[in-house]
Amino acid sequence: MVNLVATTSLLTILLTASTLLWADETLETITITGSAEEAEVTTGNVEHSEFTGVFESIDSELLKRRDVALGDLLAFEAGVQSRQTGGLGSFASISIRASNSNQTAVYLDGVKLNNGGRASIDLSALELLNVESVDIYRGSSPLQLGHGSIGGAVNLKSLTAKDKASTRVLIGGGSFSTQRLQASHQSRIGRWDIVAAIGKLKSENDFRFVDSNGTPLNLLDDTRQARHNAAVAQNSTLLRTSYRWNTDSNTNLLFQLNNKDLGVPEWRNADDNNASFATDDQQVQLTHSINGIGDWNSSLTFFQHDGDSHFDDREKGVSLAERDSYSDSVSRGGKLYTERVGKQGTLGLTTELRREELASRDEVLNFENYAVERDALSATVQYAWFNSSGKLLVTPALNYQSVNDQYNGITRRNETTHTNRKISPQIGALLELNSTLSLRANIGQYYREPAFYELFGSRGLIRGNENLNPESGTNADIGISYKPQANWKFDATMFASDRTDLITTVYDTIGLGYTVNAGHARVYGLELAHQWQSTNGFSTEVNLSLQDAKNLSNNQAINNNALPGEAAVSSFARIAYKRSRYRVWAEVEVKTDRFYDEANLLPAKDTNLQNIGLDWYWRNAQTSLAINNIGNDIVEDFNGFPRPGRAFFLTTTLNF
Amino acid sequence: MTLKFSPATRNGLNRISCLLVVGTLSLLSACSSSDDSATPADTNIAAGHYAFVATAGGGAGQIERYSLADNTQNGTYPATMTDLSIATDGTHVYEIGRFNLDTLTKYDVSDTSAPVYQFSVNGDETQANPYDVIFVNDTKAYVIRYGSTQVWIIDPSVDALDEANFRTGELDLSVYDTGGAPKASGAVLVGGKLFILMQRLDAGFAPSSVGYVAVFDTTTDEQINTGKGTDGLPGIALSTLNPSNIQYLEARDEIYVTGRGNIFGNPAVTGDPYQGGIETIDPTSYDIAMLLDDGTEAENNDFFSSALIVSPSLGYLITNSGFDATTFASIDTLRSFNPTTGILAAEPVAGLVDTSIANLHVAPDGLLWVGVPGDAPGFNLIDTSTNMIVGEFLATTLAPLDVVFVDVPEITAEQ
Repeated sequence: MVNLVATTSLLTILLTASTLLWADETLETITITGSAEEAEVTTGNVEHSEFTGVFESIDSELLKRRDVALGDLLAFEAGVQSRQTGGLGSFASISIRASNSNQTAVYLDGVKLNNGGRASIDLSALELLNVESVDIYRGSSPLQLGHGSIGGAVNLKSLTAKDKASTRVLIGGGSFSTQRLQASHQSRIGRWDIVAAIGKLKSENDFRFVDSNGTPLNLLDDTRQARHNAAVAQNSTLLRTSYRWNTDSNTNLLFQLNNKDLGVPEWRNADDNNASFATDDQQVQLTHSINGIGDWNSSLTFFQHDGDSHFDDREKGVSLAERDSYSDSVSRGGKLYTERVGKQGTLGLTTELRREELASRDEVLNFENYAVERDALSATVQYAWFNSSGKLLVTPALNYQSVNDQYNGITRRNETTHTNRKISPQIGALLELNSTLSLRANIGQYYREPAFYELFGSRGLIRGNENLNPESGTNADIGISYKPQANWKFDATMFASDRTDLITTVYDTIGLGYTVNAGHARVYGLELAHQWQSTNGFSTEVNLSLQDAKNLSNNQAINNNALPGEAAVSSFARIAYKRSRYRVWAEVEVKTDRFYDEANLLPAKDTNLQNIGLDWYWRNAQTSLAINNIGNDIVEDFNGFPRPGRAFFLTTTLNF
Repeated sequence: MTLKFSPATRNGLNRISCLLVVGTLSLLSACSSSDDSATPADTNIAAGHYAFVATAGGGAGQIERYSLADNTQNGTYPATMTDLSIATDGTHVYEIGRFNLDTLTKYDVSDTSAPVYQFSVNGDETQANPYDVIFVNDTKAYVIRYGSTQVWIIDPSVDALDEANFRTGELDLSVYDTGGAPKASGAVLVGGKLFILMQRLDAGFAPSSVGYVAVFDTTTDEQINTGKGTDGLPGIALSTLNPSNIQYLEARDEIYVTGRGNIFGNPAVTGDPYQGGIETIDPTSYDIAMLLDDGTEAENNDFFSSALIVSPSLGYLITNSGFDATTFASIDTLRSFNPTTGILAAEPVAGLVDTSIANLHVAPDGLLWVGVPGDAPGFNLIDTSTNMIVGEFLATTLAPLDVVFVDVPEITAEQ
């Protein structure tokens, strides 16, 4: 607690002091002389000028990093925490404002990747090469994304072509026999935009760590071991083409393929374990945007997302019983965004109709096989109203969601069908007090229908619960944004969230999990974010999140405890300096006060990771060296699943 | 937008920015170091009877210590994961770390802060999953390992620096294997013989074969051919499926085994799921008899979950009618029966009908402790002479899994 107070106080003092010093020193001397390059905006993309919630865009320099996974990059931001089961390529997820990964929606170019068959998105399976930008929305989600989720949303925008054709080849390698090869090409030919990217990652992930032999109270039998059966091999392909019919319309076709073969380490790091988990994901999205039909602009997307997985543990390397499980999920549908831009504001409507399917089968325990379908309709209408001065923006919105499930081989509450409908309101407001200072406030309701594995089980490790109710939550936040100049931004947000019928997995004494509506959580928090970039090469970023995420349960052993896995304090700071052909950077990530368990009897070791790096630019080449976790601090986001210690990574990128 | 600053401003900004970030980097690093203050040693408990309860809930487990003088908790041992059990040799308590723990941790009854030792019971295997420890004498005990074909013979008296001499031998149960391991779940010691109960579930944990009891001579550690097996197996073939507990009652010189049948409704097992009951075994002749059958699918008193024999005329039986569809809590009823006649009492124990019951134990004062899981876990205390709940509910922090009672003498432990 003393640490928490000290951290908060000193950071606040530092930030405030720097703000005041900045103000004193720069009011009379700064002059704005240029203009920023505006990103191309097409209908259907999130219109941030009409969004009142909290969002961050991942720095483009960060997205060039190849030594970390997408989840790590997201977790640098305030309010976001990441968890990973091991090294590069291992399962990675994020939580926003103490939501879990099921409650955090991940979108690809505005189309949700989460579905009933795959509620939680493995961020390690998404190739950074294919991503041009990433926006994180905390709490509230913008209209263009639809309903969002209880925690918020992450929108990945795929690579687009630029006026100047470019080809990039990256080769890299590093600790734990990690190898990476990537190539991409982006060009414009007449009215056509063409983007192609391929990537390959291999890593043995045989990092060394101190294995306690399962006896944490006996240090004498500890041994330093290499992690067994954690190797990953991952391939990705992105193809994207777009055609500009005229200045008001274009058509985009996106195809993305990711496959991954992953070893599943055993909790005791058994060296004879060969359990594996393989995934094959592909996304196809066709979008046509057209502006100027009367006062209306529209964007229509058809999509099909396929996700197949195979968990093979026939030799019981990690499971109690033999497993050879297949899961094939599909979501396909259409999404229409349409808007009418008026003098006082914009009326927008996002409608999505999708069918989600899951076929789950186990070759060993074939009586657990089932197939389910879900037809989901989501419609969100919002009016973004500006007052006459344009200083006040108010965004009332209403969302309607319905699901119709059909079950084959199983039932839910003795029925083979299930229907549910919900209406949830949201409203946000943004007030620009002056050119540098703005206030915002948001409140909204969200809910999440149980995923199929939560209802019907998964791979024998989780027993489903056909009586689950949807999770629901109310999010609210209020914040201030201070942006005295384009290159300096300070943001502070207080948030609260009340969540009911939370679906959690409880484990019985033989390790079998059961999904239940465990209850109720209440989360309060404060997020501080500071970014500054000088004209002579320095850039800094400091993010701090403090949250009080309480589990309000009827169970006396859990009631009023911290939600497991969520650090009460998470912070990140980076300093970078770029001069001539060199750029050096250093960063530190700290997480404290978190528990592995709901009973709060098993505290997780504090995380304190320091990374440093050097980029060297020479002609058309960039060579980057990153040394991560220089303190060699072994972190376990999941109890018993260590992440790597100190790691080196060297990449060279050639740009043509 | 591009900004232009005066040189003075640039310098100032750079200084501020560097100070800010370097200060923050240092601060974050410094602030994250935990002050992991160790739990102070607790070596001053009064002499008397104590209950040591293995508990679990909310993703964690621990041993909680209760004074029987006032039924209050007065200490907890270091927390661990959830799948725990507990045993005692009469002077120390042994925390049995089961699935995914695979440990045996010996604790002093008076010092909750640190173990005497903590050893893995995996050896060269993984997921050994120890279920019970049976003490023969001060230097010999058996570790019943559910996930292995071998029972370990150990010397429980070694100290923390002498792990090399902890494991002294093995008993081989591989002939009973029906899918990875014979699923040995308990044992009793009777007259120089160790009777090891095996569930013999298949690889998918389906009770597709009848349970068995293997018998070993504790002097030679050789298996005894009881002549009661089938297919050449030396052990005693039970007539029930999925046996859960084994107990010896000296007053009747009988061993009691409770078979649960297909209590979890494993679909790999077809036919009548009620293939359980309470069987008795003569420890000398190895004759086996059905004392109390669980009936048939058409006529039954629910599945038999677990039993405790208190005396020749009194036993208790937990019967299970299913699991709550929403919370998965078991729906149990406590009944009494006569272990001599096998007659089930007409009425269940009042107040313990269609509720969750985790376990049964008899305390030194003769009260029956009925473990209750759920949101308000603990024990109902039953007067066995009246079958009535007496006294106040003894609340535990986490849900009770197992209990041992130890008589703590006058404490002389050093700090």
